[in-house]
Amino acid sequence: MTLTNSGKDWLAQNAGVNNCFASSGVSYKDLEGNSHTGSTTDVAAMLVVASLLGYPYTTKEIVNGKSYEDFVKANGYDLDIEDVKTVCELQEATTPYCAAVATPTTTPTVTPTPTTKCEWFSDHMPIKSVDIMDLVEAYLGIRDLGWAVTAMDIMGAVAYYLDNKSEGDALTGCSL
Amino acid sequence: MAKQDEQTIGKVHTGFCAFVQDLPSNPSSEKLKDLVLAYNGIKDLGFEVPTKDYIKGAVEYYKGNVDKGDELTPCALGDS
Repeated sequence: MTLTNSGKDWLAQNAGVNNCFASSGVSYKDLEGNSHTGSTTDVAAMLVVASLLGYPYTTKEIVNGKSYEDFVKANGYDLDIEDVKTVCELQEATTPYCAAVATPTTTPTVTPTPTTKCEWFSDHMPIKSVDIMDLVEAYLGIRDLGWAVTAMDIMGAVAYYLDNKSEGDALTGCSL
Repeated sequence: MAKQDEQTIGKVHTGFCAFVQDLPSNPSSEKLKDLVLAYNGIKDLGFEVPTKDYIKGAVEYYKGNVDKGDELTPCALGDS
């Protein structure tokens, strides 16, 4: 079972209400394109179904215009059947899980500032999957890269991995 | 997996095969989602989903792979 903080944040931002897990009021689509309203857990379960069915279902829009592949990019790992129970527990907690950062509504204008973080990205270009794994582990507190990794940094690394430098720069604040 | 009459098995299998029997002809990811929720004890479908093979079998039914689905579940949709 691997549901990372980045994956939880993705669910809260895309499959929640006000960036928090919600037991109702979440609009989503099934894999036949029909619209439904349910909970964050419902969306997590539908994401698992897309994973089990495989491509091309993994590319179909499920929630907020995003697909299972979009979720995996944020989470860093596939979503397992048992992870749905974790989502439900976080949703039904006295204080439901909320994302650490809000989803930006517009592409932020970032003034590139060279930092240790940017040096790290520069040293690891082109970004490989193992680099993304290192970032995820650093985000989870398992590894120390010498700088504080955020969810935006991980999403930026994924953008670099996909050779989308402009989006990566916008997310990381670096200028590569 | 030996195929058995659902009515002789009791709660474990009763209802599951009826629930999935139209998946090959009428694929519904909502049904698969409900099986995932039931497996995790989040939703009561009136029958148990005791193993992940039941879900994987239902996924095969969804894809139209009835024989593979029958291998993973106690159902025998290929015989009907």
